[in-house]
Amino acid sequence: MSRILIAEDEPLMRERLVGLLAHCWPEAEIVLQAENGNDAWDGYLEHEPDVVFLDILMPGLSGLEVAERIGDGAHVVFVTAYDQYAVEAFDAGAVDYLLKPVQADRLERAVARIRAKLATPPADLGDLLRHLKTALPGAPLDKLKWLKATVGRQIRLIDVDEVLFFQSDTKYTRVVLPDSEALVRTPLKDLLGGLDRDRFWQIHRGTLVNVGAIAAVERIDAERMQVLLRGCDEKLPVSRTFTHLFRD
Amino acid sequence: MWRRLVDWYDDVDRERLAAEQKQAQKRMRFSPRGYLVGRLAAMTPLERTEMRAFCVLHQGRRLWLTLAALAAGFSLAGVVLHLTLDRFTWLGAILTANVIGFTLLSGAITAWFDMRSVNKAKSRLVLYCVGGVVVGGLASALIGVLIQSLPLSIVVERLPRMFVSAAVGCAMGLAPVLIVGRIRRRRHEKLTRELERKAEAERLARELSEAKLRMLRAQIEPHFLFNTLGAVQQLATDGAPRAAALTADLIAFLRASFSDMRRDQVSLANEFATSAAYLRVMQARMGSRLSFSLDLPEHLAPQQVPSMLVLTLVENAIKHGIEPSLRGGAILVGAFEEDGKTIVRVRDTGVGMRATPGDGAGLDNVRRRLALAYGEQASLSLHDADPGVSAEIVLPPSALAALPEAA
Repeated sequence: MSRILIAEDEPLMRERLVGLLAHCWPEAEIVLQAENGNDAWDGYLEHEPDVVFLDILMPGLSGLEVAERIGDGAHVVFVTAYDQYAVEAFDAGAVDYLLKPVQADRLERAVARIRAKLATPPADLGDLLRHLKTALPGAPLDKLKWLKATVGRQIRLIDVDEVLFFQSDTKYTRVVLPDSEALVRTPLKDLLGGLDRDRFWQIHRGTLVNVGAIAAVERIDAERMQVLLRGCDEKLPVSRTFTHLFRD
Repeated sequence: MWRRLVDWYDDVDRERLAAEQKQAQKRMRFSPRGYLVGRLAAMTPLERTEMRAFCVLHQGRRLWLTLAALAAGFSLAGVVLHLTLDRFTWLGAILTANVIGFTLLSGAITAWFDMRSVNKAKSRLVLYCVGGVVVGGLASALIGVLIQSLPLSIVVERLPRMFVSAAVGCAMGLAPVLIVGRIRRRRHEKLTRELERKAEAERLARELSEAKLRMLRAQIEPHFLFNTLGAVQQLATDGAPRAAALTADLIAFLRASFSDMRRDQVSLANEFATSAAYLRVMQARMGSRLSFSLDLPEHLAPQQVPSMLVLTLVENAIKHGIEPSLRGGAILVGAFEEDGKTIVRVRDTGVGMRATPGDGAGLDNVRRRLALAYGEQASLSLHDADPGVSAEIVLPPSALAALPEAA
């Protein structure tokens, strides 16, 4: 059975897509309805769906950014109200897309196409996405430089570059530095959009690690790995989704 | 002949443009035609147009008739001259009158069409005349001594009289030129001012309608319409009564947008109503992510403001404040008076300014509309409100400022 994730910020549009999907693809299971890009990415890591319907303009990570992170991990269908230009780019890149508001017949055709593709591995849209991200309106999020963390009764300012790793702790994020650690009130999924992806690698749904702090990567067995850090004894597990980061 | 002159004039006018460009490279060698081209180039377009109209009017038969009439008139004056002063022969009097008449006429025509150079060279003209008087007086004295062999004492005795008659002659020649120049300058200045005013008014009107069109286009962008129609469609599919309410709000908003587009100024009450319709549409779409409040004191409701200004700020707050925010936020729209000025404030609790680069076109449009309506007296400013942004329009005390008529 196919598992579907939907990311759309407007509730009525979300309802509409869910309702139409139930009608034209009743066997599929909708594992999550995300209302922003951060939840969509986090939900993707949690549920590992086969098909992801992504709105492009969302709060947090944009649909394009989420798709970039998903890479070839799932079949992506863009849902967009962008006009002409985006449509041309999508057509040229042979990407599946739906125009908002989604109409039943168009969705049926898209579903038919995706079901035909399900047997094959999803395509990596990397090049097209990089092109689209620069071409479409909507600037990426500003990069964080400083974090505010509460330590006892103090509010500490933390230079992001000094952080060894971030670890999700339900509603908080644990920020580990060489000589200390702190809790930040922002969940990890809302933090990662503001961090430089080349510097902080996500190695697990709940872990971002500073590449500069990685001392070594250890293989535990055929599937599992863990990261060893400089200046810290903790070993951080690498989830299956991210082991490709450390393969040659 | 005159027709040829007119053709030639057009030709020269074309050449003038080429000459203006060429002049930068090298100075043209002197030629009568080149000289004329240069003179024409030095005239203002208005002067050139008038001169051309004059040439066109007086071409062909008409020219000869005019010339004949003038010659007859001058000859008549010559006859009168001959009869009153017994010093000229018939022929001499008629010739003199014609020479003087046509000279004055050509001087006046020159002054009429090229009054700027006449006015500029006024002191030089006077200087020439004084020089002429001196030279003329001395020359007639010299003629008296050398040719008529008059005794020096008589010549010296006559000298003041000669100077006076030379001066009178010069003054008679100069006066019409200067007077015509002066009259023309006044008229010309008035005309130029009028033209400038008209051009300015036209420019303002054009800019105003462009600004309004841009605002309208921003409002009913396909993105907004499609998403809203999608929401209506979904509500209708579910048979939700909210579908009718959302449609009503969309209609109210679109109607107000289109009718405000045609007006320069609307009341604040009007603007707030349009903004409320827009916010209700957005709330239906965004659900719990958006809350809003509008607060317009009753005494400010009738105040006139440029149309679509408040709405543009509200849209900006949605687009750059609330929509990119993970948790959404509130939009507070209010108006109040401070130091006799009316202040309209649109505050949002969204992501704030840094996160939204390129506030761009919408706010530029608001600034331009304010400048068009009130000049420097009105302003738009943005402030960090933590969380979010506060946008403030300050309007002058009597916001019933004179507006250029919309085209």
